[in-house]
Amino acid sequence: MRISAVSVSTAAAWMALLASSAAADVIAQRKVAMDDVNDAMKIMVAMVKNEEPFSGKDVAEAGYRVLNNLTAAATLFPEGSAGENSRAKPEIWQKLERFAEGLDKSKQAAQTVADNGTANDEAGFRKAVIQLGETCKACHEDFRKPKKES
Amino acid sequence: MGRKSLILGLLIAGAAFVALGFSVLLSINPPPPSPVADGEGGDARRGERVFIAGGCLNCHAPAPESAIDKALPAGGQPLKIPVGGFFPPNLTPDPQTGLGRWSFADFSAAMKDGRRPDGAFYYPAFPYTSYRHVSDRDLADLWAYLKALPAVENEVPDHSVPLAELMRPLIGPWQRLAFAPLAYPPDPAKGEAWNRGAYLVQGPGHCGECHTPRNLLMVMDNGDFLAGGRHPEGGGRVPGLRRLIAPARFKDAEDLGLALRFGETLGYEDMSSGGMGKVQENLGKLPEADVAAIAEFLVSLD
Repeated sequence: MRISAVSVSTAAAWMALLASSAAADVIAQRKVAMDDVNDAMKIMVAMVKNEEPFSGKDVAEAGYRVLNNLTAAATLFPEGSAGENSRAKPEIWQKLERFAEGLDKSKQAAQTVADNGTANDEAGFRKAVIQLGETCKACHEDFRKPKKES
Repeated sequence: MGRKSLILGLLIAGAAFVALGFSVLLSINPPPPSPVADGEGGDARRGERVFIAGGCLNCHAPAPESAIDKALPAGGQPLKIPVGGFFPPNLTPDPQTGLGRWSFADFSAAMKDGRRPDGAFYYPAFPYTSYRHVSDRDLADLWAYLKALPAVENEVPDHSVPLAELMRPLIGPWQRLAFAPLAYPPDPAKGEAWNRGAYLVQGPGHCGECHTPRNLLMVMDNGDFLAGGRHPEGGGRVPGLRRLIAPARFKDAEDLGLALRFGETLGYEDMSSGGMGKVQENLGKLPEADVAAIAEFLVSLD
């Protein structure tokens, strides 16, 4: 087979398209994951604020929801997946070890919340969910861009 | 006429135009210096509250890689803007590299007029356009707090902003445009909490420096106070803080107060990006009554 300049550049164009749509794909996936974390947090925060009664079962469910999303998120930040359409800051890949550490801390905190829910421990839950929120904050401060629209 | 001489002529005309513009601008006098605040009897413990409300440490922190205690405003952390970086100075009372040789009058002139002890103007990256509304008493307390800090020897690098020294004299005329009266002056009819909130937001809190839109000359549009604008880091918006009681925003002043005090630790996820995380941390350290006052003032803005 003769490799012409045309076929090389076509192949390159296809690879670029695949790479960019792969990148677009992880961006969309992690947005879904983070939105789901936000929804789970809302359920738990409503209990902290005494707007909803404490339910160990619901806390465990929400805690595991957060944990599962964060576990999936760990695989959704490949090299080169920053961009205009993403709130991920380039700092993530400049400080990959710190980012991974932060994600781990969040996962541990989510596990603790879930455990408190399973044990029906309301006092423990109240402390644990605040600590979980702190891990969210710690990463978002350094690694997430502000919103595009207010 | 040859092409070369046409281009040369245009260049000379252009340079003359710029020089003319420069000298016209410089002929606009800066605002007169404010009367020096009364510096007597400053209380360092009250001053710490002003230091927190002013968010001083957010800019004046030591460089991340330095070994200096990160809780001290020894300077060196860069303040990045699109054209380069400012290096906020060392605020500890070191005589060589900090404020050790400053008088209270020097400090007052810096905070109220944006003037250095040698008379030159500070770049308004130092938000004295808001700090000039800090009360005399708070200034005296803040000065007492700074003087009581341990003196840290830390030589802060010069700003790395192109043409900074060349453009510095233009800041005086710029101040004439930028120094505006308070958008929300004290109003006895609105009660103590509202007034305290109005003071904290417009003065030490300097919220408008990010949250108020600016015109092409980078002057805040106080007619549209806290209406939101472009993010200084580029890429993203700083949200408006008017009409905060709305379905997608906050239920009431108490909800807003919780957001300010706890931020994302209580699930308020808008409170930790674009520099807001550090601001929220400071707010969390203020007395609850102060945060409630800020919330009461903000929710009154429609």
